[in-house]
Amino acid sequence: MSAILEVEELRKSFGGIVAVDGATFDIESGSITGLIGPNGAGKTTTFNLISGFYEPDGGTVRYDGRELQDLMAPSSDERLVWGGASGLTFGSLGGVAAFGLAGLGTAASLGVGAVGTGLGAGLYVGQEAAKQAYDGHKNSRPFMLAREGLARTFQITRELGDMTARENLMLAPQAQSGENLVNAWLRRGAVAREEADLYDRATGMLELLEIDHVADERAGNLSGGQRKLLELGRVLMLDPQLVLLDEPVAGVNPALTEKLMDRIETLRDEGYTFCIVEHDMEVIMNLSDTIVVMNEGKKLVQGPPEEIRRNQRVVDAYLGVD
Amino acid sequence: MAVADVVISFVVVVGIYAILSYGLTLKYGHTGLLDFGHVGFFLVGAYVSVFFVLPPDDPGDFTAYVAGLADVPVVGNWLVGIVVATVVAGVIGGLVALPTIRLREDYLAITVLGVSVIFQRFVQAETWFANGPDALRGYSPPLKGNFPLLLNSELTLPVVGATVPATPTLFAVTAAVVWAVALAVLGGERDPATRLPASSLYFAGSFGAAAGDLGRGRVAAVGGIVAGTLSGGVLLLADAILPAGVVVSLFVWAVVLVVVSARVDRLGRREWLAGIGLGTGLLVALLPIPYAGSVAVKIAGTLALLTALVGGFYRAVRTREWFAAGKLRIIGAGSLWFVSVWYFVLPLVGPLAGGDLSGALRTLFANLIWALAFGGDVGVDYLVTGLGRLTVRVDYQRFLLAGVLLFMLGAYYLLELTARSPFGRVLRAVRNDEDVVRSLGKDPFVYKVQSMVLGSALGGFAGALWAMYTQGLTFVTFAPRVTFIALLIVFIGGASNNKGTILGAAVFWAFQQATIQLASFFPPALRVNVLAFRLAAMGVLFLVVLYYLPDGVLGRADYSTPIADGTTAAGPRDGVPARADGGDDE
Repeated sequence: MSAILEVEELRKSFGGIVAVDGATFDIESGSITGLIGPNGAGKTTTFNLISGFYEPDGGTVRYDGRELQDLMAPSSDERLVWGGASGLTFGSLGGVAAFGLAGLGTAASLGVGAVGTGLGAGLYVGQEAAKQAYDGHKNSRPFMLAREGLARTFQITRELGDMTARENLMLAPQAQSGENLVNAWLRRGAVAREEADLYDRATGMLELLEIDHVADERAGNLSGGQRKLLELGRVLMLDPQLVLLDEPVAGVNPALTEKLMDRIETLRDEGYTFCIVEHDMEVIMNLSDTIVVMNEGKKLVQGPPEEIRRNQRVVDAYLGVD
Repeated sequence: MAVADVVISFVVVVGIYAILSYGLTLKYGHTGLLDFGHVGFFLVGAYVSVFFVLPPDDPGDFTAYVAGLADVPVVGNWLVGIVVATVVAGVIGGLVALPTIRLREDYLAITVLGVSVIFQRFVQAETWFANGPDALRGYSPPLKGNFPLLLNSELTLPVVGATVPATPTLFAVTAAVVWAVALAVLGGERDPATRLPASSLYFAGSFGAAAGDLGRGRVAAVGGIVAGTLSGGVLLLADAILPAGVVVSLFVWAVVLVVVSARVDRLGRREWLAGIGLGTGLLVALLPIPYAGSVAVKIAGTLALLTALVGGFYRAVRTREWFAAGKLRIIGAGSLWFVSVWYFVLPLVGPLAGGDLSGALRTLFANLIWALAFGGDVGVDYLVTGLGRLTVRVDYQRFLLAGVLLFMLGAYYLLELTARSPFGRVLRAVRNDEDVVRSLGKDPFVYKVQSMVLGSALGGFAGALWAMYTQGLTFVTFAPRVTFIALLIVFIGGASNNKGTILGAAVFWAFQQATIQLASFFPPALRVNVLAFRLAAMGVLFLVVLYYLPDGVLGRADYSTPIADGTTAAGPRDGVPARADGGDDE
């Protein structure tokens, strides 16, 4: 087995608080990795770092052998499109203004247009830099990772409250042709067929999670446990390779927890990889192939559940005396 | 001026403002972008379109503007002007969005407000651009020269170049659009299983096209084209404006009746009676304004009666459960009653009091046959039994009405299509939580820019129509106030409800219209104060809507199903308070 995610010397601090302080661990492809530790150990920050939502202060994360920062950087095509569009708009506006308003000759207007093009492209580059500075520790491009198959859920559920449960799920899949406005307007037949498929997939997922009775209810009206399930369903609808689950069964009843664990194991056997933060020890011990224990921003120990259960340092730091 | 004329110019303004507000419905309602500078795109659309229909600037006269393309073949007409205005407003919307859209909601609002003020100041200060602080005039709306329709004038078709008789062509176009719009509305009401009158009227009105399995839009188009062709043919063969106008008017009234009666079915008898009581109460409360002698009595009397009416309504809401449950429907029924009395009965009071029975009948007839204008010096004369001699014409307002109605429904359809597509789903997700959208592999920025471009283009389109309607532009018109009017319109009907925007525009302009009419009963010196008072009243209206109806009159709309279905699958939803109090009119 090979590592799908390699975390090396990861570091992140907020003001004076060092949340993650040189964490190093691997997640094996096709495994379920549990991430545990006491409150404030840096688990959620680690999640935000490896899902691309935060920019690390130091260290590297490699997903599928490639560094996250490279995965998230705008592709050269994208830079070319935006920079070119910005440049051409300014250039043509400047050229037209020079020709029509200021009454300059053709050559001079073309010159103004060329200068405008350079100015526009420069403005794009400048605002990209300004954006980096403005966003601070937040990375604005984590969506690139979801496209590559690295998906996450949130610890505090982030359901889309105004939308129905089913819509929450139908939003997730990638490369929907109807998300392009031209297709949505002009190729309605193809979009409608795609939507019908999505509808069935979403319904199937809701049935699997046993929340199909609230499929058309607004997500904001669901109970806490139902929201957890919805969040899980949404990330699974993405069909990701590596799923980061932040406390997936907190607030879910025991019978359904059992079912979810079965489901996650089945998915693991089908080749999916999971990394799970969870405080329910029974769940995490039964489910995980490997457990990473974190404390004070560092990895304390990594190993199979039986080993972790016996490890004195883990018992002292986290598990306590049974 | 007959009441019908007042209503027609009212609907034109409502249509233009609905299109303007649709830009904000998309930006704010669907995407959550609070654009306080929406009027800027209205301005861009208005001025850009006008440059295409102005003659070249004459340096010798007192007006100055940067471009006048009216003499340029192919380009110099309204059609091109409107299209270019829409595109330019959209592009500028995108350019404004690129740097600002990453800002948080409130910062975005302030920044874009600033941009719109810059646009306004630019027009005001740069005298070479669009005549500076003075009005920009000197253009006329399309085909205006052919109205009123009565002469055997010729019309040269643009692009094709052929000449056709003006009157039948323009009447046919007007009739076709009005007919198609009425059919489309009727098609939405129709339920083949239960409402027989609606179905048979739909079948007859579509000239049988409804029998096939065509979609609603196609049926409306076919029906409209057939109706237009028929009426054009009739006018070509015989000078029969009056019969043609009667048929079109009565068909629309029949549709209105069917639509209203479908609503009445949903009301209980006591709710209906309460509504009539409310409408009559409002009528009585306003009586002191025209009839009281002194200004003090006018104001005090009306305010006292209005207070009593609102107090009674409030008390009924607190004490009667059925009243509270249906309060919006009761207000709807009351408004309907009030408008009917105002439209049909009040105009007759004057002639009847003077003992002029045939005058009263003529007024009633003129209001009933709304598609035609009556009276005046020019027109086609008819001798009708019981009514005497009638001078009939089709004026330009009616032609404009047809156009604006068509555009408004077009904008509505576009918004429905957008909201019900996967694209609209992403927009709603962006409004709810951008981080979730990011976690699902979609870039919120791209969607926000697209929403901004499309919304601004709608604003620009409305601006071009506004320029056409007012036949003159000044920078004062494009004050930030307009943005807030549009925002109020969006809020009245329900921020993310496409139907609600039309309702909001109607409610807002009905309020404006009513206060103008009431102000005319005050002495001239006081009229200005009464009209100025409207701004304060508008603020109160805003507060009332936000406080008591945070989801608007029509409530939240459900856009989870595609438009192709034709039906919204949403059943009654328990536990959603906003819907429970009558916002279920979807």
